Amino acid sequence: MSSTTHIVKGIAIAFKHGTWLVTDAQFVSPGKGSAFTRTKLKNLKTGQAIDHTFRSGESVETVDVQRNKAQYLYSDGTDFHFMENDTYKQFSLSADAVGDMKKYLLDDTDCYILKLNDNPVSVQVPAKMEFTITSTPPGERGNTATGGNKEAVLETGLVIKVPLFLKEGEKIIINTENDTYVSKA
Amino acid sequence: MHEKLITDRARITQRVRDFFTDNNFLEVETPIMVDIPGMEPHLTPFETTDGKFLNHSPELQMKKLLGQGLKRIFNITKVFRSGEKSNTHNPEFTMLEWYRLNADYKDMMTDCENLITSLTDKYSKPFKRKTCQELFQEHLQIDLTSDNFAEEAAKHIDVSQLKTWDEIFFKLFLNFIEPNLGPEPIFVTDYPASQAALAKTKGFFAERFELYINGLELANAFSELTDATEQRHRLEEEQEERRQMNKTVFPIDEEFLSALDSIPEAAGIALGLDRLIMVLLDKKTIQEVILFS
Repeated sequence: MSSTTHIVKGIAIAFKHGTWLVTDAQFVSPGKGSAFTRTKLKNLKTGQAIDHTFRSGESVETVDVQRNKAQYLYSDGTDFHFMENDTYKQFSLSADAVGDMKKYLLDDTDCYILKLNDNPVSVQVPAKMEFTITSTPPGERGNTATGGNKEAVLETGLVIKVPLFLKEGEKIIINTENDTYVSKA
Repeated sequence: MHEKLITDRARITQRVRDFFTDNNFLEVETPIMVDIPGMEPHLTPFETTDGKFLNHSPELQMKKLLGQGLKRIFNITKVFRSGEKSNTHNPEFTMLEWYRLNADYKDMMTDCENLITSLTDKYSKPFKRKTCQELFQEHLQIDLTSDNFAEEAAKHIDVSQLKTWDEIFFKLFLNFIEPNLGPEPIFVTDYPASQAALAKTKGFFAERFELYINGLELANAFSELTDATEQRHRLEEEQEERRQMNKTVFPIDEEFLSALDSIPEAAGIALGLDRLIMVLLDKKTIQEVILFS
C-alpha cells in the first residue's frame, strides 16, 4: 500500500526504482521561479546517498518504514551488530547500510533501527548525542580568523568545530543533524 | 551570540560601505514598509495590519532615485520574504543593492569582482563567466532554445508534475548545474528572458547574471529594462500570473514606471549580505552569521 505526499525530512519514498530515506530537506528559491526543495536521500537497501531537488509541492510516493529502538553492540570488522530493545533480537547490517552513521556508533549506543517489510535496512541516531573529546589543540586564544572555534576529535573519530575553551577529556553534546557543537554535557 | 561574530559583521559591513564610498557611490535609504511591493509572482511579502507591505527588495525605490538623476547609489537594508527559511534563507535578511546610470550588467560584474577582492584575498580577478546556454550544453547537452526542450529534459528528470518551461529549467539547473558550479566565484549569465521581468532582453535571453561562490547564489543583476511601455506590459503579465496562482494582485507602481522615462541606460544588482558574510567567514548556515536568529 502506498500514498503520495509532499516531500519532508524523515519520510521514506519510492524513487528511481528504490526506497530512499529523506535525510534532509531544504527550501531553495531560484529567485525568479517557484520554490524547490533540495533533499538528501539515502537508499535503504544499498546505503547510497544522493542529492535530488524536487519542485516544492511535487508529489512523491511514500513507503512505510518501521522505526524501532535498538542498541548498537559491536562491529566485527565487516558488519555492524545491533539488538532490538523490545524483542532482544540481534541482527547485523553491512557497512554500506550503516553508511555515515558509523561516525556516531560506540559500543552500547542507543539508536533506532529502520525496517522495511520486517527486514532491518538502516540505522538512525538521536538528534543530540554525548561524546568525549579525545583530542583538541590547547589554548584559549587559538586562531581568531576561524571565528573563535577549533577542531576537536571525538571518541568515534568524528571531527567537529568546538569553542576554544574546551579541553581534551571533556564531555560535550553535539547535534547529529549537522555535526555541530551544542553544549558541554 | 558571539562577540567575534558581532565584530566580524561590523567590520565587513564597514568595508563594504568604504568600497562604495571610495567609488563615488552615494548611500541611500529606502522604506522598509511600502504601499506596493514588487510584483514577482513567486515572492510573498508580509502584509501589515494597515494594508502596507514589508519590502522584499528596494529595487523599485532605487530606480525611482535613478530617475531623479542620481548616477551611482547603494543601499544596505533589511528585506522580508514570507515562508523562506532554510540553511541559506531567513525570512528577514540584509540586502546590499547598488545601481549605476549609463552602465550594463558587465559593469556590475566588474563591481562584484572589485568589491569581493577588496574584502578577501581568497579569490582573484577575473571571476569565471558562463552563460546558461553554455552550462546546459556542457552538463546536459541540452539546447535551451530547442523546440524539444521538455523531451530532452525528460531524459534526466521526472517532468510529469512540472507545469511550465521555467520549472523544467530550474529543476535541471538545481539538480545538474548548481551542484557542479564549484567553490570559486562564477558569474552565471544570460538567463532566459522569461526569468527576468525587470531586465533588458536580447532575443531568447536577458542581460541578467547571478554570482555564485561555493555553489551559493550571492547576487542577481540586470542591465535594467528602461522602456516604460515594455515594463508595463511585463508587470501586467506578472499580475496575471499572480491571479492564476491565487495570490494577491498588486497594483502597478506608476511612480516607478514614470521614473523609467528619465533613465537612459542603467544596471543594478541585489546581493545577499548575510550570504556574503557566510562565504567570508566560512560558515555553513545563514543562521550562524545573523546576530538575532
